[in-house]
Amino acid sequence: MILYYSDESLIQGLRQKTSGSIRYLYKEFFPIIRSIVERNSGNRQDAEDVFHDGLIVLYQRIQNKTFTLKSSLKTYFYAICRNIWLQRLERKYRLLYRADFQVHEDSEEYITEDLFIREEQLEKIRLYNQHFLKLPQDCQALLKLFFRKVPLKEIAGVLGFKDENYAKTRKYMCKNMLRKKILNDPICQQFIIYE
Amino acid sequence: MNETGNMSECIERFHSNELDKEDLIRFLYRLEKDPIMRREVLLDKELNVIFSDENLLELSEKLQRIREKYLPGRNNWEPFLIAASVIFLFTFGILMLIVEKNIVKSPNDQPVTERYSEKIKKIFCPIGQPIS
Repeated sequence: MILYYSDESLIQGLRQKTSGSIRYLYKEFFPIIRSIVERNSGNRQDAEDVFHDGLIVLYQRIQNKTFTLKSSLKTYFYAICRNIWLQRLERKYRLLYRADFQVHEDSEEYITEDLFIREEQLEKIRLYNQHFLKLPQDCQALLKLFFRKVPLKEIAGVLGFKDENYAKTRKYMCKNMLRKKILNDPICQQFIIYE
Repeated sequence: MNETGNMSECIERFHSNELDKEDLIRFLYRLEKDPIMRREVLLDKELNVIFSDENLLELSEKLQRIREKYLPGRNNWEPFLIAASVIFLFTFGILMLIVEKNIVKSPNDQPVTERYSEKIKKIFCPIGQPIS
């Protein structure tokens, strides 16, 4: 068990999505994110969501080959989460709310970039994924293959369905199940207004 | 296939451009009239986009699992605290009941309360007369 990860090894670990480095990030970085969220009208659940979304943004950024860290990873991640939380507050309260954040260490050095994905999109990804994980195992496996654009014939073979048609029908049912779960979730309903 | 199945199939075929001209006209007409169907179609399109990023999906899933299992300070102490409180209250209640029923007696089998009431009388009424 590694007790200390350098910034570079954490970035490498996150690139490869290794559980050890993700756990370390949760252990080391979560308390500070929790603190800023809770000090600014949020609760623990909000902090967990912001942290989750922050890791998605960080993951996307480090995929870029030209990514260079100009401050410590903690400071950089703090700034990402701070941005997410500010955007979320603005969206949720529909006010020109500006929280009085305490400036953390050298966070002023951080150059604010636009988030790769919009904050709302991050919340959607997280919530849709939560519902996806509540689907029966066979549905999850089927949909994962379908979204990966694996042909239905191959999906039927991999999952042991009798034929392609059954795989197709099952796919409709699973997707329908997922849509219904999302549409019936009151939290999801707030941003599924396409009218 | 039932109505829901048909609708799911239509949505799927619509997004894959598999509907023939006639079905497409019917589908678009229905889409215009039915706001629920409109929501489903747009949500389906969004799902296709979001879940097509396999890496993101994998990471999000991993984060979700780690978050539920290992997040610091999420050690679920509450059930233990509740159990401890219940045990404490139960024990305290039993003790109170024992005292109340005078089960604890003096060596001379005299109930504790009576024994002490005699002493108290002696202390406050030295000439042996009760206070009126």
